[in-house]
Amino acid sequence: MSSLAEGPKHGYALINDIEQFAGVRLQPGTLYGAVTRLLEGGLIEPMDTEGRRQPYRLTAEGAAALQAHLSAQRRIADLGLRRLSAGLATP
Amino acid sequence: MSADLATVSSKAFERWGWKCVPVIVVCWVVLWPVGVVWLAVSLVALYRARDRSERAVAERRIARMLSWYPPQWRARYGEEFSEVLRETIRSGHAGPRLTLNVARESNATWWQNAAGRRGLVTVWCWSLCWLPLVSQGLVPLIIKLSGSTSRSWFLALYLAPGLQWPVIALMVMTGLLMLSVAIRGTPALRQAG
Repeated sequence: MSSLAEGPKHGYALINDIEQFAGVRLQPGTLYGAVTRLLEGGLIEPMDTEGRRQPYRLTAEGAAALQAHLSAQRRIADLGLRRLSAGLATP
Repeated sequence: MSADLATVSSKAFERWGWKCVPVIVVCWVVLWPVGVVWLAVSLVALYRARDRSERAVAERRIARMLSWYPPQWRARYGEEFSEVLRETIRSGHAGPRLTLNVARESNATWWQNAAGRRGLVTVWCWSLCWLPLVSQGLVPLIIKLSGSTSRSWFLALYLAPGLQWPVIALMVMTGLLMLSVAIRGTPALRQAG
C-alpha cells in the first residue's frame, strides 16, 4: 500500500518498488495474494489496463487505512527510539 | 518387487493350474514390453514435438503455474498475473523459489472459499486414494491370499497376524471412501473449470 501511495502501479512495478524501498523482493504469488485481499477489502482498485498489465491505485478508504497504520507505526517507532536512547544514556 | 510378482504368479499357477498360463504369458511377455516401448516412444515423440525455445519453455511454465489456481481466480487475475510472471522470469528471478511461492499461494487461494476447498479435497482424493486402496490395501490383500511371506513396504503385513486383515480392510475402505469423495466432487470441479 505504501508503494501505491505515490500513484498507480501494475504488479511488476510494485515488486520492483517494494524491493527498492523495503529491501525485500516479493514473489509474484505473494504479491497477488496481497492484491486479492486488498481488492476484496476495498482498499485498492483496478484502473484501465495497459496492454496485459493491470495498474492498481489506492481508494480513499485505502489511503485512510494506510495513513492510520503508518501513523501508529511512527508512534511506536518514536516511542521505541526514545526509550532506547534514554536507556543508553543511563549508565 | 518382481520377485514378489513371480511368487504371486507361481501361487496362482498352483491354485488355478493351466488356466493361469495365458494370462501370465500375456502380462509378462506381451503387454509389459509393449507397454514400456509404447510409453517410451510416446514420450520421445512428445519431447521432439515440443518447442524448446527459451520463450516457449517460459510460456509453458507460466501456463502450468497459472493452472494451479482456482478457475474463478484465473478468470479474474490470470492475464495480469501471467504478465507479472513473464516479467519476473525475464528479469532473471525464475528460480525454484518462484515455483514454490506460486504453489503455496495457489494452494492458499483454493482454501479461501468453500467451493475451492471442495475442489482441493477432490484433487487430493484423486491423487492419494490409490495409496490406501491399491498400495496398502489390494496388493497386500493379494499377497496374503497367495500365501506369500514377502512383506515389502506393506504396513499391514508387518503387524501381528490378528491385525493384518482388519488393517487391510481399513485401508481398502479408506481408499474407497476417498475415491467416492473424488468421484462425487469431480462434476463440480469440471463445471468450475
